[in-house]
Amino acid sequence: MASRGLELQRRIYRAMLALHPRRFRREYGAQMLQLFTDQLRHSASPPRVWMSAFNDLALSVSSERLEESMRSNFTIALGGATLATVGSVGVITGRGGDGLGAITASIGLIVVAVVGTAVMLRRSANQPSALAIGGGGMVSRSTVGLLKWAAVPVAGLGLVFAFFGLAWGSAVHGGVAVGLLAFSALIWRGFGGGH
Amino acid sequence: MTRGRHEEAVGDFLPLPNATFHILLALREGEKHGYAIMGEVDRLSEGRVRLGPGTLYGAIKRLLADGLIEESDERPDPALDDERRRYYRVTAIGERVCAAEVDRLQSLLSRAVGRRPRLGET
Repeated sequence: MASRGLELQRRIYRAMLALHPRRFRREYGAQMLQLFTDQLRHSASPPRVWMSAFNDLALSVSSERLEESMRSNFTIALGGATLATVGSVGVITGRGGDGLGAITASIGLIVVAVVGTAVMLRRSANQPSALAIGGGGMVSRSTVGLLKWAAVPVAGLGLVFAFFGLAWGSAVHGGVAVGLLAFSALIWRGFGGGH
Repeated sequence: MTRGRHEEAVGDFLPLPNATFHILLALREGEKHGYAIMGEVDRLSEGRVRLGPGTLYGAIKRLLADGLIEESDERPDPALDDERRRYYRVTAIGERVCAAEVDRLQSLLSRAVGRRPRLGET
């Protein structure tokens, strides 16, 4: 009877684990279920274990979802930077085709700016003091470190603008180049983890 | 030069989040599986830090990714233990980060205690 009750509780907890991102669930789902079972076996009060499990799930699901979204953000930001580069090269070389290059470049830059700002805001909310209850940085340094490579295409775009600014003596291109290079330095420093 | 770079790398991890610090402290005493880590953290913190399965394995995942702990293949006593359990241990860099966090907290504590008005007097 007791073991049937335990099995039912394990099933319910296993179903709740589905709230986590698939990658995390595959790697740690079995271990978490094992740990939850240990808690139930050794606790005198199963309702207390369940209360604690609900709190824990709320914290861990949100933090793992955040980390997963940061991985997606990196891919989106990289795509945006590529769009911006291709569009800008089209505009600069005069192969923009009825403003298509400018539109592509603008969309790309907006994507990079929006994703970059969102990630930076989330990162600032990821300070240890903000997570005293959850007890842990939500995102590993290796994931944050990955985002610094978004600086490379932005810097590349800046160099393209700098080249044509110098070749044509255009102050506008020069200004955009300085802005992009400064932005890439900010990304590199912001996500590089250096002090 | 190398030493300087290593010290900088250790400093990059500080201050350690509460759960991370407790897990590293728990693993310094020997490799452990999840439930044993949870129990040790509870004991070390006198019940003030309670890690649930999700918080614990989320922190373990990040500690593994940052190279502060590693999974162990050895089993302390295979006859007494479920082979599906995973055991973890602190790496050399994890040990240095843990020691640096202890130094940081000690230094903070001594500054806090030495300040006037004394703590609890106002």
